[in-house]
Amino acid sequence: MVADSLELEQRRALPAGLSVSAGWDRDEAYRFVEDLFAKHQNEIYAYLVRMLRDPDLAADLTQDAFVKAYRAYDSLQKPENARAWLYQIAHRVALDDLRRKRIVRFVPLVGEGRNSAPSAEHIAMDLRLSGELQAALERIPERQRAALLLAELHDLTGLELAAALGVSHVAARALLTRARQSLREALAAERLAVAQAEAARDAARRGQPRA
Amino acid sequence: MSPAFGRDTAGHDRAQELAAVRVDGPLEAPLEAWLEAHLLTCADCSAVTQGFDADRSLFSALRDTLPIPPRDLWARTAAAIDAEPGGPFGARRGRRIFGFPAMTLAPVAGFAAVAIVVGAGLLNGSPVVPRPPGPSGPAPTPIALAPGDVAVLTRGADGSYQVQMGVVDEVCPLAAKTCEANPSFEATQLARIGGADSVGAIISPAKDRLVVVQRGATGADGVYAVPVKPGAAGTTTASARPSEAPATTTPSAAAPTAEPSQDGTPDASPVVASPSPDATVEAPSPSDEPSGTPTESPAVEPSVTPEASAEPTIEPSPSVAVTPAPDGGDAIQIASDVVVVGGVAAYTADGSHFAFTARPADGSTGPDVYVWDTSEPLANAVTTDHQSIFAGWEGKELLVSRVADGAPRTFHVNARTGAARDDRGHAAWLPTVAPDGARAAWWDGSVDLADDDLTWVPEKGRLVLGDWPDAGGDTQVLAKGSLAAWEVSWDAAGTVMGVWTATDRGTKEGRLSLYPVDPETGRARLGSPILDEVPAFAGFAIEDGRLVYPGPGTDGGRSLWVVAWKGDVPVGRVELEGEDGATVIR
Repeated sequence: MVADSLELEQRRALPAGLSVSAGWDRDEAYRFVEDLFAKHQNEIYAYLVRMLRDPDLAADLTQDAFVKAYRAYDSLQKPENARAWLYQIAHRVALDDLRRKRIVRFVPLVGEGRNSAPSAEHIAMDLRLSGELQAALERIPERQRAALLLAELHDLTGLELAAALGVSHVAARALLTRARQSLREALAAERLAVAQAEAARDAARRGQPRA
Repeated sequence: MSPAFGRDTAGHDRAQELAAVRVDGPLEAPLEAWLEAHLLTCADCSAVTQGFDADRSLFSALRDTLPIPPRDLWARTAAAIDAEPGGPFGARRGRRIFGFPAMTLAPVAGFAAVAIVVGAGLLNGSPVVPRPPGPSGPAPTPIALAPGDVAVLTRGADGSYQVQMGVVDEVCPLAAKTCEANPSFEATQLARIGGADSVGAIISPAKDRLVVVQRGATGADGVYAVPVKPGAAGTTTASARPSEAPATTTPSAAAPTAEPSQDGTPDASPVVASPSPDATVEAPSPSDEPSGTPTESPAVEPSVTPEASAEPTIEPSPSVAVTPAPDGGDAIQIASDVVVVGGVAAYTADGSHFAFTARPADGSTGPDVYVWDTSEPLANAVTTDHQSIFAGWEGKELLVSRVADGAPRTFHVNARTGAARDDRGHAAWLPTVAPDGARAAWWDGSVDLADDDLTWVPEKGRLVLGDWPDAGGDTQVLAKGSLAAWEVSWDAAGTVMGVWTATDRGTKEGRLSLYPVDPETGRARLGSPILDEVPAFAGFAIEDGRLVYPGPGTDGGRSLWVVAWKGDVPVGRVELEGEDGATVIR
């Protein structure tokens, strides 16, 4: 079961400074999670949307993440680590789901910022760039993708990234390096694929046989 | 593939790796020097290095578009936490529900969201009060609401019951664990009836009469109509504020006269029923063994004076707005020596008739549908096949479910003659019809004989929402699997629907969800619940952005919860303090 395995994993792979305490106050846990939710719900939800490409699923898993945070409340001893700890939970929730479902659906994220009103040109540019980026992100391994998203979009520090990924600082940095290299390759592959597709469309429009 | 990749040269690979590492932090000086020197001589590696910087810029497009989480996300999360085993509320599951375990009396057509709480020991006759704030933590500001009535049937220390009514006009933020909300709940005793421990009650659309079902020690039920006269306006407005009206009563024989009901305030909505398919009324546990007798007429001796009219606005202090009949309008017993079964009982929209299902207390036959013309002294069985279960009203017709040719069907039945309008009926069991009459929720599956061999329980199937009266269309599955009981109810406008289901026939604890309803299609937005499977007991009421339901209390036992929402988003709730044994009906 995901929840159980997560809790076990957290206990096995707690970042430095985190430990398991005996017994916990459920009301205190509730208030803690309530506060955590108010502070971090947007970024956790955004992370899960970016990882999963599915806003509804991301909402469900955001809920799951906070419920798991409630369950695992006693595993957090240092409040200053709460953000990374929460990301760790969300990260595991996302990976569990991805591994279970192997989501491959691609949904552009641009336009989901409902409160913003960018220009048409901006939207077009963002669509192209983000579409290209997201297609490339789809091509790289999930853990690398998570590392990139957390570092580039969620501004996790090195230590936070390590905690969120459940690995050492050195390993996190190595993962991030591999992720950047993978993304470089994936972007190249994506651009090549797009170029080939455009060439094929152009050829079709001209009524010429495809090369 | 980029030309920069795939080159099997250790120096180039190392350079590109270091370039990637450098993106996230400075390199050690020797490595930095080596890399810079290499880049000066390697155009490909230099391009890759620049590419890493370019890649980072791509993320800025995503950074500017932060996905916004659904507004009800905390509500869902909090509900999920509440439902955690051992969670704030989950730890207190499994308590036995007091009252009629298998009986969930239906809300009345057009009936405003007045919840009648029936409970032995509930407050011991003292007014229902909001639960005080918790011992620690900040107290969020409560949220003011348009006031809404909550009518309460409580049991006094002497074993009698009293109707009380209050106004809930404040709720706490849903995310708050502590709150200083004071929902202005001032209880007023309206009437007093003696009787047993187990009681169910339904109020008429005009709120001028209760039908009370009492279970006696022998297991037989007495069904009583108890006048409860509102203010001169004839209805209890949402702003009506009850006031103190102490009533002391002495049990006495009820006068055998029936007072014709006042004109109702019929809504456009026809029937909102709450089937509890557990057709067999379970015997109360020994601890809940009633002390009354089934045929004893309850005594009603109100002693308060009527108010000239219901106050149209909220008053800062309690005032008399709902009073008992000044002439001490007595209860009448409209049925005796029966066992009420089937779970659904309801008034017509105009309050002129009341229907329920009962079988003889001696178990000699199966159930029939009884209809009480409120101008008559007694309810009469309008079906005679001994296998009919009342599902609700559709206009002036009864919806009656029965097993026909081995299959569960529902028929439109004449409330006077008992004749079925349709020969084959509809392939639906215990349908609950939406206010617009175009949609209904029903059990789509098989039923089986209950343990008493007289009534039925759902067997295999699912609870669905679909077109009515076709009992079909593009149905939505509300619940499936083994259901012990369910309730479905809409608000009067049909904008939201509540679905309560229970799978455990023993505890009667279930889960309650509240869904927005698409005004165009009538379909429930199951993916966007306002409340999602919160622990709840049977018997809830909905109206005007307010949901009243019984559920586990924060400190154990049972409480009455009032939840408010706007649009599709829950805004707050308040817990009305009670004690074990509370049951909410409508």
